[in-house]
Amino acid sequence: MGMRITGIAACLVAGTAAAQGIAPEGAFTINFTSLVVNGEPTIEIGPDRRTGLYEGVLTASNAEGKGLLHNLTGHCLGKFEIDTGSGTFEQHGHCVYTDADGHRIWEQFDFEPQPLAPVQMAAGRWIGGSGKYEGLRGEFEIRVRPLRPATEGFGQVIGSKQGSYRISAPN
Amino acid sequence: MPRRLVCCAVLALTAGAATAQELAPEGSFVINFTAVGVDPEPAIEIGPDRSMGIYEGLMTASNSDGHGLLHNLTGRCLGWFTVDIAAASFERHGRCAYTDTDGDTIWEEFTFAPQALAPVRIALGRWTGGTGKYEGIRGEFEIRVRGLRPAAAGFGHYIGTKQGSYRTVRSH
Repeated sequence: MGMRITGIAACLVAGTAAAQGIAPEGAFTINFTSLVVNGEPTIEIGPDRRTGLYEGVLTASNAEGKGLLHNLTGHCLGKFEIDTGSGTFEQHGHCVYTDADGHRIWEQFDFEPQPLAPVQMAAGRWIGGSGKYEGLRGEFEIRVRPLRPATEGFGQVIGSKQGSYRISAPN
Repeated sequence: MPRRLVCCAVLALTAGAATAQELAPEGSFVINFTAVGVDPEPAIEIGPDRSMGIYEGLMTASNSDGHGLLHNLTGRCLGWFTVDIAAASFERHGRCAYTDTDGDTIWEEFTFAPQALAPVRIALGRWTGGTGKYEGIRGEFEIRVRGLRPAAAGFGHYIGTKQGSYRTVRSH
């Protein structure tokens, strides 16, 4: 059974205020949640080791209540490897965030090999964007905490991104 | 294609999450939440310019104090809505179950009375009870929700707050 959005969401998004202009550079703390939807099972790649694909849909808000990534939604794809023998994992991927105007931010994230701790850390980078985010660059630390999923078939994660950004106008 | 959770990392790590703290017997709160709406069936026409649909939402909540009630809890909501395109209005009603890392649950009821299809919509929320450390919880609060541009086909995105007060009435 496919998942389809019925009319109410689409109707209301149309009324959402346009995203505000973004300062050319700055620091930020962004909070986000992620709903993890994995369509395919993992595969075994060695003793106690598995790899899988990751898909997440994200909702972000700037800790200041406005500005960069405030009320943007994101879509992330990536891969992960897990070593249950050593209790470690790594995960790598990309995301695209979209604001109410349809302008986008492109993100790359890397969870280097680390213990399966309650809070995991990644290095994040913004590598560009479209519209008002054209020329965006940023570096930040990502911290995520997996939560108990509300229902089968999904994972749920809460986290933050903290760092700095700059927007360089194209030459 | 069925939805399956296979991200071993997520599953393994959830077990290590901190246990929820004990709650004060009463208090006020501001809770932030996000919701991803997953609608399994299309709306049906129920009159000229009117449609009705069902709603399933997966919630992630955090207390604005950084701890306490509903902090880092996940929820699942089911409900129904009607939309009147001609009048640009809607209403929505439903219930939710929030669960913490210990598996203790809070039950919520929400009511979006008929209102304009504005960017921010307002509902009345009530906690009607719970299990474990939330047994006997009661609460009344205002819910404010903003619909966001969906990140991918098949999902709706919302962000919002719940603001109000609660008390816990233990059974004798």
